[in-house]
Amino acid sequence: MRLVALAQAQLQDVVRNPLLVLFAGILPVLGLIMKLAMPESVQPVMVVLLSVMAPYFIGWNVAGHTLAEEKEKRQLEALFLTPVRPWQVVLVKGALGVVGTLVLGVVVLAVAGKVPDRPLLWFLSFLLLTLFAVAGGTLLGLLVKDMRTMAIGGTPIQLLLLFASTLPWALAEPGFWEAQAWLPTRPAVDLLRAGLFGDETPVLRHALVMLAYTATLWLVNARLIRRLSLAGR
Amino acid sequence: MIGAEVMGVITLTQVTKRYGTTVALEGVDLHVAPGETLGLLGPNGAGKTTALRVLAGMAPPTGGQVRVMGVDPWTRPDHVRARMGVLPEVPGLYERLTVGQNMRLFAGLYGLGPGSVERALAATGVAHLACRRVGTLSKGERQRVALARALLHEPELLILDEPTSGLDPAATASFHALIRGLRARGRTLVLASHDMAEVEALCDRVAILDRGRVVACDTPAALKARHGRRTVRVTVSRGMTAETLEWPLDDAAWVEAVARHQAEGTLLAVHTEEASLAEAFLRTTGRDLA
Repeated sequence: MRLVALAQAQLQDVVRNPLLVLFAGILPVLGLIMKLAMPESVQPVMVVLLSVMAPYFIGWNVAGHTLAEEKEKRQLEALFLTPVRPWQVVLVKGALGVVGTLVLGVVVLAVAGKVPDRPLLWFLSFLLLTLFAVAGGTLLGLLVKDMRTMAIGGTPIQLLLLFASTLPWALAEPGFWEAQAWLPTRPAVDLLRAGLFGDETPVLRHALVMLAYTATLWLVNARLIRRLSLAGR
Repeated sequence: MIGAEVMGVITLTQVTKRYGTTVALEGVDLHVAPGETLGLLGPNGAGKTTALRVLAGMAPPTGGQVRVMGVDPWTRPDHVRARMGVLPEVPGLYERLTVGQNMRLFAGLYGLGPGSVERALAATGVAHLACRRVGTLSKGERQRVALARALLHEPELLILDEPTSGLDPAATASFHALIRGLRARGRTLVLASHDMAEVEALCDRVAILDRGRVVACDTPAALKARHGRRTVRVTVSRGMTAETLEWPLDDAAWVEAVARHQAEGTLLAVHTEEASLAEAFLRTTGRDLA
């Protein structure tokens, strides 16, 4: 009952959050513009870019931004005066971020008119990237005290994770591009590309790299949530 | 286990709380009986909010013993929170949600049904606001909604942290009436405030906190009698103007002065003034409540 009540209220709050609504709305619009205005030759790059943006725009922000906002407005404090546990709050935010991102990912593909060549691989890759983005957003949300710090600290990291792996570095800096295969996001980008267009890629290696980063983030988050439990109860 | 009736709803024994080198509470002893309203009076930084956080199980004491309804709120927070409501200084309501949605969220967290929401909103006179978004409410209305939230699970103990801070006089009076209603229904209340008049009007006993210590704790009347001073004000004529002279009631000098001015025909008025809680505060802490 607690989780249902929390999820219902969080959803009601998220859909009235202008920043999150803007983030959710902008990607389908970009997809539509891309479909109507761009030559077919660049559309695959744009589909991948939009697919990578969705987890960072929605998953990251739903988990992180709302945590920061609830800290700043002392809503978390009010929640923790009830029998609810901090991990339950984080779980609900994370779940909303994941579900919202998956829905947005499907919408973006639908608008762009792209059916994945390997749907299961696309889904699992997208889910993996989403879990990573939600973990990153949650980590920042747990660390910062307010929305301003979240924006100052989070935006550069988001942009770095997003564009370092999607811009055509391979053409300019092949060495940098190779190194990125062991850093967050690019393995997921390659997996997404394989799912969408059937590209050949070391699926297991990329999946393990992303899983390792995601698991590490969630382990750190678990420690911070425990600290929050002690400080907030 | 000794019952809460015998233990008191709240018992703090030599409680100390430090944040690094900062001492927020030092050797605090407090006892609150069932149905009693205790005021925590002190300036900002006196330790009121820290004391409330310790009571609510949101911060562990560095030393001493805390018992709320017979248990340690830090080690058994669920037991305490099921029977305690807290109105924080900042209400922490979700501004984009309606009052009803906020209340249903918290009712769900306590495992309560919609009946409790209606009852709590009606009890604080805000049932008509159920469909309004919290962001559109006045500060007084938000405080009432936050009080309704604190009352959702019908707690035996209610903790109020600066409940009327920033409210206009009308909203303050209306909020005081609500608190009096809760007192009349036998709830145990702890009210932290830096408003002398509020504490004096609403509380059975007042603990004066200064720099983390309880420097006095008694009924407002007893505090005033012990630490305040009744004064005598003598108004005399000085030509075309009047001057008011003041002495402590127990200072014999005023008797002499009155006799002299009466003989000279310059005595205009004599009246005594009751001791105030503000003066009691000043005399116990050595500084004004600002």
